[in-house]
Amino acid sequence: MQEATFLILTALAAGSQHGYGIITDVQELSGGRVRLRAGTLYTALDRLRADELIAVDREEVVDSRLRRYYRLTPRGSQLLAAEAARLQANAAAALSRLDLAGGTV
Amino acid sequence: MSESAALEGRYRRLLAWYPRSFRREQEDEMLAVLIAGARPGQRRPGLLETADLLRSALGMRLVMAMRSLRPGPRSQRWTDALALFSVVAPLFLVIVAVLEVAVPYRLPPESRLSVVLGWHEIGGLSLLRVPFFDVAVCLQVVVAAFALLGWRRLTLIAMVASVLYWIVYWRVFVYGISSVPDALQLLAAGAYLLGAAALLASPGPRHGRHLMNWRHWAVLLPAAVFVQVSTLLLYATSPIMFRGLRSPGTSGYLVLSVVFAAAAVVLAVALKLNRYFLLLLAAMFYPYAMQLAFSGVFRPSSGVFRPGFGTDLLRLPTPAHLAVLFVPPVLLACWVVLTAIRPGRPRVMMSPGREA
Repeated sequence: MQEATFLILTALAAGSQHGYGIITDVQELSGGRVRLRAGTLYTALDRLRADELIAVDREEVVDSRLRRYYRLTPRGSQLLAAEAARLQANAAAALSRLDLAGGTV
Repeated sequence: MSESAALEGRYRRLLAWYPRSFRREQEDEMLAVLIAGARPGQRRPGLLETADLLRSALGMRLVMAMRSLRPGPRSQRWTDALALFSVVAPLFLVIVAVLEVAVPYRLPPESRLSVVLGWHEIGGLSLLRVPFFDVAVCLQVVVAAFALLGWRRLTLIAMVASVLYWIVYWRVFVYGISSVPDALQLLAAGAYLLGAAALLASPGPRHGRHLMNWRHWAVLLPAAVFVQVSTLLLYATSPIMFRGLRSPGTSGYLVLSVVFAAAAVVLAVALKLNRYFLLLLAAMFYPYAMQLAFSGVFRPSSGVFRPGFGTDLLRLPTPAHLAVLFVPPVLLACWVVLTAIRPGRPRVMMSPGREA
């Protein structure tokens, strides 16, 4: 799974968010390293919706602007959990090897 | 105009690059996100932001085009096109063969074939006396008949038999005498390759037969005449076959070829034929068109036999030549079959990497 996809799903894990909310949340989650642009975000959202990993939760109009909120689907939650576990296992393995080699982390 | 209105207008112009269906649903939402992310006083989209939107828009167009080609209820036009092609392609080959027999071309007396071999015409009833031609045409008629009757398996078997016959005929009987296969055999190979894939992946030739109407014939008939005239040109400009055409001569027949090809294309567009059906037809014609494009028609040679791209692509076929001739129809045929057996739900990419 691509990092941006992982971060978008993570941003939605705690609850539904609208587009701009996802952008700011992803930036925060990645410590400012990943800054999604609108084109990239909506390409990813379109693909995730097609894959049924996220769905539209609700729509609101704020200051005459449309806000559409997205949420994780059960399938999206499962995939995110599996990916997080995989990354955790990989990270643990890497840290373990580094410890064995006497390296510092 | 205020700064925000100017910025919004420029964003809208960029968003116009997205597919219409996407814009209908997401444009206002995306615009809100873009405006929310803009700096105070910003009048124009940034360079990176513009590049990102254009890349995303073009990618989205590609993705939507691919989605529309997936089989299933969402792409009825695609499955219709396959069913239609599975009937039309075999019929088209028969039309070409009938034209070949019914409309002979009288050779000028000074042509090499007339002088050396005593042949006085190309095509005509004498074709039926050419060894193996009658069997090849019979097989094509059988394939078309099975397709019209809606017998999918038998059509497929007859197609395979026809292709095997061609390969055996060419490799065993002709190779060594003339290593150049008839250009029409390339057309048949493309038609049967894609036709077999269409038979496997479509609702079947019976459905295709019901979809056929006069508009298809209006396109196929000028296309068949184009094949006839351009095949004659291929013969006429081949250094080992014969030289010299009756009036209007090589240039005149070249113009006629272009006119009939253009007529077929214009009619196909004007009559709004299923665009996926046209894609299949284009792939079917590809090997034939390539052979024509690289022949002496467009590269008059000195008459000295020179293998390679300067002459017919299949004169001395190497893997590269075969790739040039057949990769597009082979890829399309594989794709047709793969999309048919692919599960409806697309899989999620599971590769490391950074997207932003």
